[in-house]
Amino acid sequence: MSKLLYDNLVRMSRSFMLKMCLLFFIAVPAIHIILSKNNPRVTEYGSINIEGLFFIPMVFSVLAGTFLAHDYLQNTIRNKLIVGHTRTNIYISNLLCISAYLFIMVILYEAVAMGIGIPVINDKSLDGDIITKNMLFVIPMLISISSITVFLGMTLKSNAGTMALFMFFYASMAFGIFAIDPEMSYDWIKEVAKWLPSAQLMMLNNAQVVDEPVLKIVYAAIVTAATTGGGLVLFKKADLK
Amino acid sequence: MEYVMKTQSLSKRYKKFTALDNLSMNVPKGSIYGFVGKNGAGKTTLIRIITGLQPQSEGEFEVFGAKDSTKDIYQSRRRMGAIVETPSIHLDCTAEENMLSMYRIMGIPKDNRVNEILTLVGLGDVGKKKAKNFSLGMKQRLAIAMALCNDPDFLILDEPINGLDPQGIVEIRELILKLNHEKHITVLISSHILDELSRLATHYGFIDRGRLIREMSAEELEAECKKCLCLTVSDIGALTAYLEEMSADYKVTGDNSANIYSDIRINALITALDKKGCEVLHISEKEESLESFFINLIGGEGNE
Repeated sequence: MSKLLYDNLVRMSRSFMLKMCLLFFIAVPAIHIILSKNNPRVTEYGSINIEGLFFIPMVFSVLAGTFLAHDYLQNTIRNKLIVGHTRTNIYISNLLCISAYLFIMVILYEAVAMGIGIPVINDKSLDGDIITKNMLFVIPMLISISSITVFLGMTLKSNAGTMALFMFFYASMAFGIFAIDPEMSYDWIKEVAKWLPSAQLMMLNNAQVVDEPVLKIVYAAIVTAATTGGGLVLFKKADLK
Repeated sequence: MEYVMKTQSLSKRYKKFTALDNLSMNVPKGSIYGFVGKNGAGKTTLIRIITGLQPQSEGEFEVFGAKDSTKDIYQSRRRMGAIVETPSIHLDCTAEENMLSMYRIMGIPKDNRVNEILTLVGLGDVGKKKAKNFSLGMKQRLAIAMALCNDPDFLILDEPINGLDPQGIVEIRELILKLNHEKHITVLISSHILDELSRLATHYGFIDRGRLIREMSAEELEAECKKCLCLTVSDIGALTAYLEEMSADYKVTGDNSANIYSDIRINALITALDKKGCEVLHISEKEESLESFFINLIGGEGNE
């Protein structure tokens, strides 16, 4: 599996889409901070930092979806099977690669947000303890997002997977928005939002530690296990051309 | 005899369609096995199953003695190289980058063989050109190069000369012969270009509608592709009467012509016909081609 993972990491690093994503995740927080500096109502950079994470899955899904679809559209997945790699190893190596780059995107985003945000906006009221706990909470959410991405990408086996990913994360972001809207009184929306990792990211802020973290981490673990297990089963049975 | 690949009652069904039906075949070690069939006969389906792209519905196979139901099959596949239907290449990469990707997947460190293999298949001078700008023939050559990356003992080539120009076909033929003769690589080639296959194969497997109809060596095929004398005469009755007397194997092909498959003395034939007032207008020797043999074989199965 290490050979497959190495090849995935190298090919992803050379992709044009990755370069666009990196540019995006550097430019967006930087521009946001610069534009916010002269706005007297902005007293904290928090809106750029942890609260900006919610859109990352949507943008990242385009990169991940095209990367996963590539192997099917150009039939290069054959090369991996013909030389004796198991389907499990192929699936897991894709999952690890997607997870690694998702974490890189988030770290890059946070580095820019904090690196520029703190000196430019200089908010001294931020609680490092809250930020740290919320950032740790993000880790299982990101793993869950990766597993959903690989499940949809490798099940749909085409650029339709990319579209499905984007739509899924857009929809789950909407659940997150409705869940935090005080005028939205539907409890079922809040319950559904607890299961959706990108909706959970929507609910993060720097003022308080996330609500019911253990329950949401358990939900994320269940989603990760279900999508990874289900994806493996479907991939192992799939007739590939 | 040692076999590199064996299948036992292999079947593959897609809902109501049967692509392979109880297929059992054996590829001898060191052979060039020509897998012959019409479009849609099941050649590519078999290759997909052997290479692990698709599971079979029934039956089993083994490669280098490892059964498909065991984990040893993955080790055995590392001794294989294959092209399945279309070239599996990264179109946004150069030829060298594609080769290096294969090297990474196989865990082989980069070495001088990359350029050697590319030169061997005629891609030594493509430089930084991306594969998406290659012609179909160049893509096919790159696919062959990638199949040779791990120095395989068994090479599976599914329609390898599709899209190649005549010179390219000759080069690939010579490459396959070289790999077989010098490196003792066993080769399984599927094709419907029978003329080209007849210049290469040492063994044949004929497939139609998912079933293996015949499996034979090149020597057996040569014996079956009968040589015959083709005669055009002025009196077909006189000819057939003589041939009946001689208990010869023959076939009347027209109003004044016949093919004689038995070994007969031409001088005696002409003298005998002359005595009966029959003139021999034309005489020539003909050999049945692989194409006509295959068509007769399939046609015979189709009429059952």
